Amino acid sequence: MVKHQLLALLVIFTVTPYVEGKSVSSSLWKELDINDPNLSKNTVMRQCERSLKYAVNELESWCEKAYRLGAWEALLYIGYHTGDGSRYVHEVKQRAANDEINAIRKLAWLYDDGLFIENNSTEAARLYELYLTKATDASPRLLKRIHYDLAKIYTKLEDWPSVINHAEYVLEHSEGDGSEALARELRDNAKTKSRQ
Amino acid sequence: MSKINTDVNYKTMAGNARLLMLGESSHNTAGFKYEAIKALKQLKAAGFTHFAMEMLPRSMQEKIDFYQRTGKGFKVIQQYLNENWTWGYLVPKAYGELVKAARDIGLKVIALDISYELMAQMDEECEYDQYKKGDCFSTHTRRNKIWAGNIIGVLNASKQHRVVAFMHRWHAVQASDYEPGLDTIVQEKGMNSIRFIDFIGGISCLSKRQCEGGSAEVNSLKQHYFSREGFPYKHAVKAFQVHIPEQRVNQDGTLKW
Repeated sequence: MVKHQLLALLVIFTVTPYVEGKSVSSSLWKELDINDPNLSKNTVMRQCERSLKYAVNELESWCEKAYRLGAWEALLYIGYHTGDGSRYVHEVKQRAANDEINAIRKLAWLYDDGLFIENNSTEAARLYELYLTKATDASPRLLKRIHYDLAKIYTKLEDWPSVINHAEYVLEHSEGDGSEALARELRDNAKTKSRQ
Repeated sequence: MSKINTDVNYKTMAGNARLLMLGESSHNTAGFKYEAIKALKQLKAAGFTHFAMEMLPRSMQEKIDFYQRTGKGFKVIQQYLNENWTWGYLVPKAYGELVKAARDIGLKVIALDISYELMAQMDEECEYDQYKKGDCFSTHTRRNKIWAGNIIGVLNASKQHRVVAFMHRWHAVQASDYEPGLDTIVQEKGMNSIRFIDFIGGISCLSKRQCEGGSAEVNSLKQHYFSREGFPYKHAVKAFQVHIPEQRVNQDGTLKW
């Protein structure tokens, strides 16, 4: 009898940490089998992105898999997790050097405010402008976002005519969702500055 | 990064902001919720009126209002947190304590998020390959936009309203170029009186005995309680970080630091 009770206690103490340790909210984090060969790149990359918030212990597995499937953006998430974004920066720079237009855009984004790389507004502006000359099939929403980012960057560079030019683009392509407020502020500020 | 400040003062960090976002660097750390309770006490005294939470869905707002008015019905809220926010040992309890504290302090509690059913539907509508190109918005972005709308609604209802919003840090700021944070979205909606405080450090426990320190600071700082100005990643508003020591939260929620 005593032997059975001791055995039961042993089972409880062995199993309990794992039961308590199941850090899962089934609604926000999907428990998928990472070895499932049918998982698409989209699904794996979404798991990579979500693991940053909901399953950091699984982040490297999901993001490495996403990377292997071609979603190189996954390296950014590994950078956030480890605090070292050098692998992502290297990947983006290499792809940008090979004229991959999306990598050119990502590199501009990294230079703007300096994420895992030294802040360089001039280089960010140059790369975004280069992207705009090459991006023939970019979505209108993406173009609007880049023009808005350029308006902000040129504000930092105090290049007022360029600020007005890019902010006007955002205002002309407004989706009526109120998102033009910041562009208007940038444009009006640039107009005032350029008159001084 | 600026120098550390051992006199952690939320009123000073909040300044005159009408929206103060408290971001968790991890949902798994129970201590962040108790630190938020400490923050709320100071922020209420500084003039904040509302407390908005990612962890509660809009569909529960009536139940929250009932609890707010009567002090009854908390069980339903705790049950929801137990079922959906079990990110670690004592975590759902800590979220519940945060709701209770907000009410007791006199802050109006606001549910921010959408239902899980709607999230699943959004997932179906827009895939990674589409949202990274800007063809549609990801579920994360759509949630952020809805939260921003909810917060703006409260702020526009009265000039006296000031909101503290509690969420994961990667909702407050952007992680990728295709997923803007609330720091940008709320400004796009015409409100630019915003500040952000990021909780870092602490200890996360998946069970009573399975714990891991969360501090990325040098060893001499891991057990220290401090704040500092700045945030190491992209952000569009004035930001601070509050580091809590790598120490356990007691069963009753009391803190050692």
